[in-house]
Amino acid sequence: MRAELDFEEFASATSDRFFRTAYAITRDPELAEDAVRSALAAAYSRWRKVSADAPEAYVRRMIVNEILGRRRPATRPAEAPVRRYVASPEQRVVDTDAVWTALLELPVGQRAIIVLRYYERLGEDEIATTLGIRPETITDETSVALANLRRLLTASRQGARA
Amino acid sequence: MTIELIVVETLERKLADVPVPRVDVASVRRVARGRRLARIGGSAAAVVAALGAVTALVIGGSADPDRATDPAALPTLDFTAGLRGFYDQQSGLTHLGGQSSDLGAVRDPATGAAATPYGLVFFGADQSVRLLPADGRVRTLAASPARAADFTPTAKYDPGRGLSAWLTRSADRVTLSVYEFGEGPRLIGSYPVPCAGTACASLEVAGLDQGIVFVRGDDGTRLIDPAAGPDAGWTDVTDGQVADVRNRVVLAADTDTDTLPPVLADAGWRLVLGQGLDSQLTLDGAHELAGAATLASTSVGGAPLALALPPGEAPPALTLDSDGSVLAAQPEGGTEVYYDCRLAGACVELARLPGEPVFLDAAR
Repeated sequence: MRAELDFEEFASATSDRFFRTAYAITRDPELAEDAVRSALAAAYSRWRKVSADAPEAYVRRMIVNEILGRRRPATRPAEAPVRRYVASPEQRVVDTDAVWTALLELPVGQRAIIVLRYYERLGEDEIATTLGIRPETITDETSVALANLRRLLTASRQGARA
Repeated sequence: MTIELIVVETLERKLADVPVPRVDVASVRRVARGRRLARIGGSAAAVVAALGAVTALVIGGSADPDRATDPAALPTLDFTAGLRGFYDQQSGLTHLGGQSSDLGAVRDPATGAAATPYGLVFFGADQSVRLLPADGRVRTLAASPARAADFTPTAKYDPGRGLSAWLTRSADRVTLSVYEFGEGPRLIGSYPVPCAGTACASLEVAGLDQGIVFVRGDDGTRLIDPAAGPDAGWTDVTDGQVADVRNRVVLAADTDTDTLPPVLADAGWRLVLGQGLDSQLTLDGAHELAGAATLASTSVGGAPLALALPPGEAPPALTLDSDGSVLAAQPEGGTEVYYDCRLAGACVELARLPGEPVFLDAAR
């Protein structure tokens, strides 16, 4: 019974943020809700072990894996090269709508890194563990994601001017 | 302001405005229970009650466990479309092989089982291993271990090799046994499983594929290849726990490694991180059953597979049947609707029952 109560408390305390994280990655509230429910169910089914060792990290990892549909292969396949260019579009006034739109246009894997880094505020090792990839690649992949974000913002602004 | 700060501010602002659905913990539990079924007390009791009753009814408590009495006591079962085994907790009726039967009073505190084309492999209260075939005449595949200890025995079936493997525990050891069905059914080997103290109680058969048996416990998962003969030894697979193994795909519930031991990796086996310990794989290893009507691909970038279930009020409980189809139970109007779903085809409704879903092959 104690374990049941512990799980309820955990689910109540964490699920809102997990949902927002899932939503930011999926862009779909139903998929986000499914992913959170499925991950919590996975945690519940082995709660005794999960609760003893970083349950938030476990559930977060389950959510992200569910969303990305990505499994941990023995060797990680190379991802398509992404242009690493771009001029800085930083503005004094933050146009959150434009940034949000650009975020949603990122490839889902890059968006996951951005959300884990800048919303969940995870360190590189934690992101690597969550995504099941090597920690040394996180810095590089974060840079690529930010570069793409800049590019999308620039394109958006140029489109608006045209 | 840097792009990083802009992103932080955007995420905080935008996500704060997102309406968050209320977490229904009961729904979460339902998904979890649908996944693991008999590992939870109430459902387990129901399943084992049914199986125990089968034993009691057919064998009748005879001193000769191989004696199959009155076959008319059970209807002839049709396993050609899979075992389709599930249990109605309210009425006590067991649905198996297209028939539903009142199997009588609860007797044995038996435990989990494995669905095979030859019938249902299950355990008696004394850990004797039994088979309920289509003719309804229960047979004993292996006698109770000497000085049987309190333990939850588990079994798995390898359709590619026609093998079943199970764990039983005596007072001083846990033993893996491997049984071959087919023309000359026989026990082909028994192997002590290394463990000590309370760790022995957690051991379960995690998978049986290509003739290789995977056993998991609290301290990790290891394998043994009985084809190596009397010298077969144990090899560590991962410090985590493997949930299922099919068609050279090792589905891990958690793992600290991205690689498999050379004996597997060199033969093209894949390690895949699944949704949890109660996930299962389809027979071809291509998709994962994990409490959702859409089965995730086990391949990077692979297409998911959607079961042709009607829209449900909550995610379905799923289990793999002996013929490779998926049994699903989905809530609708206060009942659980049971379906038999082809992976690339229709779902056929089997029954509508009250109560939490309980499948008979519940010890996966």
